[in-house]
Amino acid sequence: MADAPDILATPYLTAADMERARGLVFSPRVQPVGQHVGLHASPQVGHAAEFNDYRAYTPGDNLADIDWKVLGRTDRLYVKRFEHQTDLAVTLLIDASASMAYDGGERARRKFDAACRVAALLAVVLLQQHDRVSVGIAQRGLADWHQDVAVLPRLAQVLHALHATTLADRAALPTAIEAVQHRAPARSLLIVLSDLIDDRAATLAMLASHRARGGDALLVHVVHPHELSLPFDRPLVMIDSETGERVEVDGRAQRTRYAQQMAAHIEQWRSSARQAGVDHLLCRSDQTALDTLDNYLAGQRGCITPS
Amino acid sequence: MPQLVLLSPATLVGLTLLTLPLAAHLVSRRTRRALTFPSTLLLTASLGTSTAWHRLRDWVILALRCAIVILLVLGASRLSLMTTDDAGTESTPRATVLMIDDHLSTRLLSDGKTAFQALQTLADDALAGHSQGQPTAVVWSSQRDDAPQWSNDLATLRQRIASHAPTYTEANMPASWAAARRLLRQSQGPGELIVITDRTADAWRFVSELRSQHDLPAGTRMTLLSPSLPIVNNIALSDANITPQGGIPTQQCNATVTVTNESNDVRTVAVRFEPLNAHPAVRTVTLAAGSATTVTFDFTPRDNAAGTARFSIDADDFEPDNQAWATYEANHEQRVLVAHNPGRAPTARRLQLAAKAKNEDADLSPARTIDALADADLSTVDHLLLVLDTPLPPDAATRLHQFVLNGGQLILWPTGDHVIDSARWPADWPRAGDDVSSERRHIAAVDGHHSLTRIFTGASEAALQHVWFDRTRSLLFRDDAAVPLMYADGVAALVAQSIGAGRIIVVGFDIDASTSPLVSTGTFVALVQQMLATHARHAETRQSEVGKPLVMRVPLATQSGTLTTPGRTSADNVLLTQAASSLRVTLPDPAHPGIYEWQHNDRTVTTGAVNVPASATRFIRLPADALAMELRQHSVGDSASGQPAQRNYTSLAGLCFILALLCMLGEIGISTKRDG
Repeated sequence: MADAPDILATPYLTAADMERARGLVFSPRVQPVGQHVGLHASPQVGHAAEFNDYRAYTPGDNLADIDWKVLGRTDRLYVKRFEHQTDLAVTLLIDASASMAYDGGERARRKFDAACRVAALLAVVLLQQHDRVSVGIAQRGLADWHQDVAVLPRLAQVLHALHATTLADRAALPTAIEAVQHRAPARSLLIVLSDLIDDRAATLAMLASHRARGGDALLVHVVHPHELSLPFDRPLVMIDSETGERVEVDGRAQRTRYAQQMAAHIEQWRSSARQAGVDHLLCRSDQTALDTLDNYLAGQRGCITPS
Repeated sequence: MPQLVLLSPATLVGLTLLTLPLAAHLVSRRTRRALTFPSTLLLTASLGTSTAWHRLRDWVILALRCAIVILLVLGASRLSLMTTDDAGTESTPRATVLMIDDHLSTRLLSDGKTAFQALQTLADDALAGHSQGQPTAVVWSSQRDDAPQWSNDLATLRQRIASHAPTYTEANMPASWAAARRLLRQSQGPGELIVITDRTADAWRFVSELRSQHDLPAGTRMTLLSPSLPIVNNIALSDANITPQGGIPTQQCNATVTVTNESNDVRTVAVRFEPLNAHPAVRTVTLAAGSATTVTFDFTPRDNAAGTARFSIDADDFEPDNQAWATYEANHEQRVLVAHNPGRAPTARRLQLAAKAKNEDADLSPARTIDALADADLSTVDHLLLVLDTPLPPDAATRLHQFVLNGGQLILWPTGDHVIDSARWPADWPRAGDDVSSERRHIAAVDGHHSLTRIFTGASEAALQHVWFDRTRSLLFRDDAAVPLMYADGVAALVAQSIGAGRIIVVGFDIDASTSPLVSTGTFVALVQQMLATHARHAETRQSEVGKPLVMRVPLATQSGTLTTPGRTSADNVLLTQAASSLRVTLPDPAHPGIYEWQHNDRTVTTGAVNVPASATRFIRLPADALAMELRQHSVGDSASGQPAQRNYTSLAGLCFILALLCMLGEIGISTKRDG
C-alpha cells in the first residue's frame, strides 16, 4: 500500500492497528443514502447486481425492470427489485476540551489521544470500505471541521492536525452536534468521542434529533482510569480543569463513594443514550483502540463484524 | 458533689503525652498538593459534606485521640474522687491510732524535761479532744512483740500513756509502723493515724512508705505532732585546746576538742584535725544522742612558730555547721644549758685565745666541764644537755639527779667509755650496756625521728641527707622508759624516761666522721647549740660550754574557739511562720529535710534537720490536712463503704481504660467506615 508509510507516521496509528483494521468491516444500523456506490445497503432501489424481490407490475414502473422470463412462464407481469448499495457518511466529532487533556502523569494515557486513536482506527476501517469520513473538533462548539476525508493521506493530514490541537475550554457538545448536523448528511453516522463532561440532556437531545433525521450515533465515552478509581491516598486539592473550581479531596476517604458516583454517572449516560437510540461505548484511556473496538464489537448487533 | 483530685506526677506526664496527638494532627495538616482533574463535579458529589465538615472531622479525630491519652493517663495516675464525706465534717468519730515515739532520742533533756515527756503531753492533748467510746489504740515505737489492741476507754489509755516508762532503746520503726497499719486496716471505715515523734524526718519518710502501700481504708487521715526541741546543731565542736608536752627543741603537743551530739539520734562522725604546721589527722567517733566526748590528737609542730589548728567534722549525712580552732604560740621561754668538753669543741681555740690574753693556760681538760657544771645554777635551767667523756663525780650525779627530780630535763650524751657505769647513777636510771661494734646504719626510727632530723635542718639539709650514725653503745633501760628513737633492728638509739617531775634522755649514737662534716661529738654539740640559737632567734646567745643558759621560745599557751559557717544555708525549702502561740513549719518536700537558719538567743543558728528549733512556743503542730491530702489522693468513691482504696483504684482505672478502648474502637470504626 503506497499510503501506508504516511499514515503510519501519524501519532495515532500503528502498524498493528493497520493490520488489524484490514479485517474489520463497519456496518451501520441505518441504511445510508450515499453519493457513491458502496458496501452498505441503501433504502434506494437501484440497478445493482443484488436481486432483492419481485413485485407485481404497476403502471409507471420501468419496463426495463419487467422480468420477461416470468412473464413467459406465468403470463403475468412482474418487475424485479434490486438492492441499492451505497457509501456511508461518517462524522467523527472529537472533544477537545480542557478536561480531555488529563493524562494522570502519563502522556500516553491522555484522554484526547485515546479518543484520537479510536477515531483514527475507525477512519481507516471506514476508508477501506470507501466510506466518507468527516472529522470535527468540539471546543466551545464546532471548532474545526475536516469534510469528506476519503483517502489515507488526507486522513494522515487530519490526524496531524488533531495532534496539534490545543485543548482548552469546554466542549459544548450540543452546539457542536448541531453544527455537524448542518454539514453532514441526514442519514449519516455521528460518532462523538468525548469524556461527556457536558450537559447530558442537551447532548442526547441533539443526538436524538440526529436519529430522527435517519442518522445513527455512537457515543464513545472516554475516561481515564483515575476517573474511575480515584487512586490518590494523600489529601489533595483538586482543580476542575474546565471551571477552575477547587475541592479538597481525601482520596482514601472518598474513593469508594466517588467510584460509586462515577459508575452511576457512566450508567446514566449509557441508559440515557439507549433510550435515545444511541450506542454508548466506554473507552478507557489506558486501553488500545483495538481493545476498545473489540469490546464494542462484542456488544454490537453484528454491524461490525470481523471479516 | 464529687471533686476530682489530680495529684499525681503521671498527670504531668500525660500532659506531655498530649503533644503526641497534637503533633500528629499538625503533621497530617500539611500543605496539600494541588492537582488539575478533569471534573470535580463527581468529587464534590462524593464528598457528601462540605469541606468545613471535612476539617471538623479532623478536629473530632484529634479530640478523640486526646481523650484516649487523657483517659489512659487518668487511669494510670489513679484518678480519685473525693466525696463530700471525705472533705467535710464527719458525723461519726474516727478510729484513732496513736503512735508515740519512745526511742533513744526522746531521752534528750530540754528545760528539765525529756523529749519523751513532751511527747506524752502531746499525746494527752491529742486524746483530750476524743469522745468516750471512740476506738483508740496506742503503738509505741519501741514496741516489738505485744500487739496493740483497740480500746474504748479513753481514761485508761491516757493513764497508760502517762505511766509509760520508755526503754530508750533503738527504735523498731518498721515493726511499729506495721502494727499501726494493721490496726488501721482493721478499723471500720476511715481512721486516723496520729504520729507523735521528735523525729519528724523519719515520720515523713514512713508516711511516704505508708502511702506506697495503698492498703489503708479510704479517707484515712494522718496527723503528725512534734514537740519543739532545742536542737541547735546536730554535731557541735567546743573546748578546743592544744597543750605542749615538752621536748627540745620542738614541742610535742596534745590537741583536744569536745564533740557533742546535739541531735536526737546516734551519729558517727569523723573529727578532722588540721594543724597549720603538721600533718592532719582524723578520728572517727560514734556518739549517742545528747552525748559528748573528747577527741585527742598528738602532733608535733614543724617549727616553733605560732600556728593555728582547725577542728572540723566530716559527717555522712549533713554538712557540718561549725568548726573549732585553736592556736599555739612560741611565747614561752625555756632555758637550755649545754655542757661539754671544751677541748673537743670548736670553741677550744677561742678559749685558748681568751686564756692567752689573760696570760693563763687554758684549761681544756674534760674535768673542766664537770667543774663548770658544779658552778652552774641548775635552778634556772629547764633543759641540760650534757656531753660526757669522763666519769661523772658523785656529787655532780647527785645534783643532776635532783635537777631531774625537780622537773628538769637532762639530755645525757655519753661519749667516753664506761661513763655512765662509773657515774654512779641511781639504779633505776638508764645506763649504757656492752659496747657494740661500730656498725654504721641509718636511724630507722619513725617516732621521734622527725624531731631529731629537724635539729639538722637549719644547718645543712644537704649534709643531713648523708649523715650516718655510728651505733657506739647499747642502752639499758627499764620497761617503762620510752624509746623515741631506735635502730632498724629494734635497738634503742634514744631512751627517754620520766623520773620525778623531770625526764632524762640518753643518747646512744655518734656521728660518723667519715660520712659527715660533723666530725666529732663536740662539733655536733656546736651544731645543737646553733640550732637552739636559730630556733630561739638569738644568734648572740651562742655558747660554747657551760655558761649562761640559752633562751628559746617554745609553744605553750593556746587559744581556742568555734567557728560557724555563715551564709551557707537558705530558707528556700522551708517556711517558718512565727506566730504568737505557735510555730508552723511547712516543708514542701518532707522526704528531704531542709537546712535553714533561725535566731536563737540573739545569734544565728544553722540547723540541718527538720527538727524545729526551740522558741517561745511549746509545741509545733504540723498541718494535718497536708498529710490527709496525701491519703485522699488514694481514696476513691464513698469512703463510708470502708472498702480498701486499692479496689477502687482498680475499678476506676479499669473504667478509664475501657473508655479509652471504646474511643479507640470508635475511631477505628470511623476510619473503617470511611474507607469502606
